[in-house]
Amino acid sequence: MQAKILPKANVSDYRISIDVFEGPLDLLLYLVKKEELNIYDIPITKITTAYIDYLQLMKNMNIEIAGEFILMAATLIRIKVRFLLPSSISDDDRDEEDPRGKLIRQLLEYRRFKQASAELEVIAQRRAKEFGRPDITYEEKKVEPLFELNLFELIEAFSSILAKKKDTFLEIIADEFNVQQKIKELNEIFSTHDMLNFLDIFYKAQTRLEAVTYFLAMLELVSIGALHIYQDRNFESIMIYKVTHDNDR
Amino acid sequence: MTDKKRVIEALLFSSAAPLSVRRIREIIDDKDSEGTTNERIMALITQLNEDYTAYGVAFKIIEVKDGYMIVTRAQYSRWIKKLYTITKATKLSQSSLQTLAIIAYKGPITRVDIDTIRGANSAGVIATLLKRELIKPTGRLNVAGRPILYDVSNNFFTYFGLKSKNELPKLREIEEMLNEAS
Repeated sequence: MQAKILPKANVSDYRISIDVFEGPLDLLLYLVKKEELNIYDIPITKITTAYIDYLQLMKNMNIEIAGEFILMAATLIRIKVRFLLPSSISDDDRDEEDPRGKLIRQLLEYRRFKQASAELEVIAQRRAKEFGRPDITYEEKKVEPLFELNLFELIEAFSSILAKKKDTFLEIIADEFNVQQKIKELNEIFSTHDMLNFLDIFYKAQTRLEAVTYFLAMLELVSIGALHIYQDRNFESIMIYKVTHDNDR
Repeated sequence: MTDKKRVIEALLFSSAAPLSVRRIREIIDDKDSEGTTNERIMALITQLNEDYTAYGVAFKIIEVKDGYMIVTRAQYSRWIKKLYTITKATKLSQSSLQTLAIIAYKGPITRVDIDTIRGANSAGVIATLLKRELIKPTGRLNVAGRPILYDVSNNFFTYFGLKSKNELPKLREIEEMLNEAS
């Protein structure tokens, strides 16, 4: 639990932002516990009053209240109103038998994971007492030293490919290629190859548009970690490797 | 003939990263020696651990998802901490733990679904967890916007000393515990 005090230059008072609650669900759960309410049958008037009182208290203490806390207040009030009004008037979600249903389910789910994270913390604390060997002595044998490329080098290499692929005539192409389809093609290629030269991928491309689509598909696969791009050293050919997870026995 | 048990011990002792049974097998099986089965290697590791307990040595072998590793026993942590001056900064924050728990139990999962469960924005926490390599993107969900799916990484299992998700406390048991408490 901690509170940060953030001085604002142009205001004479101090604003405090508070990290005690992870979010509105965390605050609700705290209030349910504090007021000793039954989580499966939360008295909506009581919890709404307690929640709004708490926000008011935070406001009085000049604690900045995040938007999600206000949103939750609105949700609570809406549920409360639905209880007060005759059912025929609130016709928008008539099929839900209990207006609190969704909120209670959310709160139970949140409580479950809050507890699970406390359990994880215990496991982490136990494991943190056991020390493995620090990574200092010997480099494990790697296949060969490779430099990872940055995006700019990659785009540079790609633009040289585009320069070679001059489209001879102009034509209007109606969404002939899409990234999805090229991802599929690349996946097929890499199901039989472990690695490919960067240039090889673009041999198949007939037009610049197709080459661009291949490039985007490749970036997509790199971003989800399916492919890796390497260069042995500067100005050498760029290689694309399939990422394999062969660590399991 | 060299004692395979001792070879495995030497490998585990010298390695900073966990070693899988497969990797150990690849290393210890020379061209001239007969093949060693996975079961044999696992049995030898169990024997090593039994030796360590019997002799009361300061370390033991644990199993995580990536394989086996030698670690010091918990009762020596206070001295090792002095040796490395472990800082508090390496500990995970409450929001990190919460997000990690959701990803561990529900992954692969999108950020939006994590936000819904936490009732708060998780973008910053996810960035931190990615940087610490405790989670990894595993693909994209095929809905509008194709959001990234996250799951825990192999490093997560090494960090928590777990073999698989099956070793996490069961959510059902957590729920029962909570209901008994209230």
